[in-house]
Amino acid sequence: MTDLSVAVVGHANAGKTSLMRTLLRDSEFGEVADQAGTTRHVEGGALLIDESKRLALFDTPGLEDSIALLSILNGFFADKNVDGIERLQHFLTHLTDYPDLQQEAKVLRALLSNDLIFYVIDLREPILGKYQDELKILSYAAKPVIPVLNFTLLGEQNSEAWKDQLARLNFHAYVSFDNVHFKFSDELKIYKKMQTMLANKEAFLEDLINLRQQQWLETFNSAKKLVADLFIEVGCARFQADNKESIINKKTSQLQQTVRQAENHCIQQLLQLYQFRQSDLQNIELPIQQGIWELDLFSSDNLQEFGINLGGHIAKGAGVGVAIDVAVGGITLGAAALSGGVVGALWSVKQRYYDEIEAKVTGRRYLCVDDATLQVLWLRQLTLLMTLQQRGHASVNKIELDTMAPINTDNLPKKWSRYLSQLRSHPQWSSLNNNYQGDSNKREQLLTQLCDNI
Amino acid sequence: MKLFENRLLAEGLRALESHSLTLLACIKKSDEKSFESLLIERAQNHEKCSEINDLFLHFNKIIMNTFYLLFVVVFILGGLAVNNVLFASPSVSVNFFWAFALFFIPNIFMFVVWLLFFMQPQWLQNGSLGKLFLMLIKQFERHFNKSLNNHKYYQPLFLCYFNIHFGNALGRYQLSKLTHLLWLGYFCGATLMSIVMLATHQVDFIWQTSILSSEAFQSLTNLLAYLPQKLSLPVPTVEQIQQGYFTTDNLLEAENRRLAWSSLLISSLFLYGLLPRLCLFLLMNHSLKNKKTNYQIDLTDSYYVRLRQILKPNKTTLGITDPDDDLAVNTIQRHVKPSQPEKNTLSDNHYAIAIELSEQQLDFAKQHLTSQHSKFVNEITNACDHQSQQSVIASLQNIESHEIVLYVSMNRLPDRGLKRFISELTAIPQKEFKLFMLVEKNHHQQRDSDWYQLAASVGIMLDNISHIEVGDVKHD
Repeated sequence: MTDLSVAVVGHANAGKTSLMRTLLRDSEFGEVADQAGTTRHVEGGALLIDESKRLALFDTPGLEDSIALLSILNGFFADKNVDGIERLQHFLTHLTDYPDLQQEAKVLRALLSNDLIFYVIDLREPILGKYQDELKILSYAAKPVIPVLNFTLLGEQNSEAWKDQLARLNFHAYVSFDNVHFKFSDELKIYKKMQTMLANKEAFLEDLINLRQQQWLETFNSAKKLVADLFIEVGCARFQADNKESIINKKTSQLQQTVRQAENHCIQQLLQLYQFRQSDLQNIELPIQQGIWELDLFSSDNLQEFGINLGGHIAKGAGVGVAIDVAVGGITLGAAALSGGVVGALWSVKQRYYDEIEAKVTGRRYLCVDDATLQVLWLRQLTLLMTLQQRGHASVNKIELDTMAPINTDNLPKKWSRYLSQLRSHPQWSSLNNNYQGDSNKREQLLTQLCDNI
Repeated sequence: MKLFENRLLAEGLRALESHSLTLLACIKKSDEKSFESLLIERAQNHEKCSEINDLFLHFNKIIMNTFYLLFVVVFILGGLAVNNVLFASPSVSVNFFWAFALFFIPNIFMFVVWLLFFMQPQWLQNGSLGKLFLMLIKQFERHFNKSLNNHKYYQPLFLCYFNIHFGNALGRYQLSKLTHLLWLGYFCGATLMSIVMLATHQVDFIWQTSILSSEAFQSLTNLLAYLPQKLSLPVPTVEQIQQGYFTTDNLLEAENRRLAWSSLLISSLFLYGLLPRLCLFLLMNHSLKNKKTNYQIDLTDSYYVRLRQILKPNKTTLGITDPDDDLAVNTIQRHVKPSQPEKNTLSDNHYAIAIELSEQQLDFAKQHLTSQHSKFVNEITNACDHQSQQSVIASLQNIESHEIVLYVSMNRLPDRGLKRFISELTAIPQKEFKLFMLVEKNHHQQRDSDWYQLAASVGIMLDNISHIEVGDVKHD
């Protein structure tokens, strides 16, 4: 196994474990708390590139007393010109003399045993002497160091000062990476920065970058499919009910429950895809309204659909009939072709309108989810998807779906009405209905179009 | 083919599990195997494996039997068609080209239709076809195979099986194979019946036209006869072709003519009907086998993406490499802060030290000192590095002030470095320390507790701790 190992170091509570969690996409890694000394071990995790390569990351305890440590290190070999690394080794060999600096010793061992160092900076903090001392200690390890600027949003006002300070200490290759407000592009910047610092590992890191990009894209595409599929499922859903208030109420309640379950199911799958916990989401119910859809025989969409299907079925029926005519040597005098055409047309009508006509005749109604609810559903899923895309695995706040988000038509697909008509015309596309027919090419095409709109 | 069956098994499991939220690994994870291998292994070890396998074998059997049945039906139809075209009336005189057209024009037409669908596979709509097929099969099985018909996975697995075999990836080859098989059956029936009927009946072949020239027919006949002639089969000569138009009474010539025309009819059915369809059938069969061998599972499906995270995660844990042996000793004891901190006022004989304050916080500390009429407003030192810390300790040892005021920020993490420094200060004898914590609006309760704990551990009395609200001062 070829490893590239990185020690993640920094002051206590700077976000080292959070960085590990975010890079590993593992909300369970280590322990995170708003206090010093939460991480007391050196603990590792690795990103697997393939069967033979991995990037190992080691979380370390916080450097809490760098002022004392640097003072001790500088006190060694006072009359000699000795490199920093020898000072570190000397300190570690005489560690028993410094019982209060056991945690710092772990950090120093990690510095010496890994290929590269991520120094995590809490940008919310002003530049204090202890941080400058930490950077000086890191420079003693003679390893490439990438300062990682954490809490970029909350600490924006200190950002420039920190960058100036880093430049003064010769740390020019810093990256911004907010563990809470995650950007995938920032993660890639870290790996690219590593590439520039470790020339001999360029190909290794290139593989890592390609893999992470591929996985990210794969996750996003899968998530888009889940959202689009939910929209199709719910948009096509329709429940038949007798035209009595009590029955309509009962069926409406069933419809609402079914749609909520479908949405909940989709949300849980999205959370799984992005490797978040189910408990990360604030439970909010979709405000489903009752929608009543009645057969409109004169709707242009229905007519168009009818025309296309009718033509197709007539052709198919007539084709079968012609084949029979020919096969029997023409003794049917084309009657089979004619009959086939008629049967094809009737089959088409039956396939498309039997249920509706039967419902009309028997005085029953169809209940389906109304347009506004579908818009809310669509926007909620988009909001959730974008939230998951930008959420770090160190976030402790729950995800809240804004149910009161105004329905802005700008956020809806441009062909919303067309998609909706298409969904209404194909109840067989929804597994929430009894007459589900499985995947079809047209359903797949619509799914692709909806995905393109996300 | 084994690989295809394994992949089919995995797809079957997907059909049953794709809506399930809890996906279990079912096998031991391995870094050395590819995800697809793990997927197949998981499918083979899954508790539903045998049920899926049984149903898929059953579907395969049904579909194969349906193909055979259809073959037999069109075979019979082919035979019936010959009977109707050639031997419908007792005084048998067959118009050769009319018979030829009846057999071959639909064949060519359907060939073009097939070609169009083959080139444009997206035209194939298998949803309703699958549903129709499922309905027919279920009707059949309701009577003959009740146990399987009631199987809870019957419908989803059938739709999965049907979508794979008749969907985009394999569908056009499967349907093409069926189409050519049926036409092959038709021509087999027709050819066989032609041979039998012509062997047992005497038929005169003629050709007629009202608007075309006789030369055109002669050329067409020569064209049709080209291949059979190359294969040394008897075909009509130019004279015999002409005699097909102007019938003669010479018995010997008539017999030869019947033989030549019969031979041309049978060889045409064979060479232009049966043989091309047989070749296409074999080609499609071969292509289908290739497609099955190269069938790829769509691993970008969200079900497989989720499963990949379980079977072949892109991360692993390396465990603890440098453990903390003193964990039990170092377990942090939580300190409960008093509900209402005492308000502290400064005596005249005090000395103020700021510890790790930002510039804004330092300004606020100065404002506070001013409000307390302190003479040290301009002398307050912000101890934020080693040098300033040492300077503060040195000056503290020399001053006479008894009361030492420490300004700290509640937002600053009370780490061991701060604790060491403050304990070095509190270790100086004959001094009383007061701790003023600058509290900002959004401070953490957790920090509150940590600071009280630190104060207690360095010997600062609880009564000597005060909170100062910083107001609108932002975090550092």
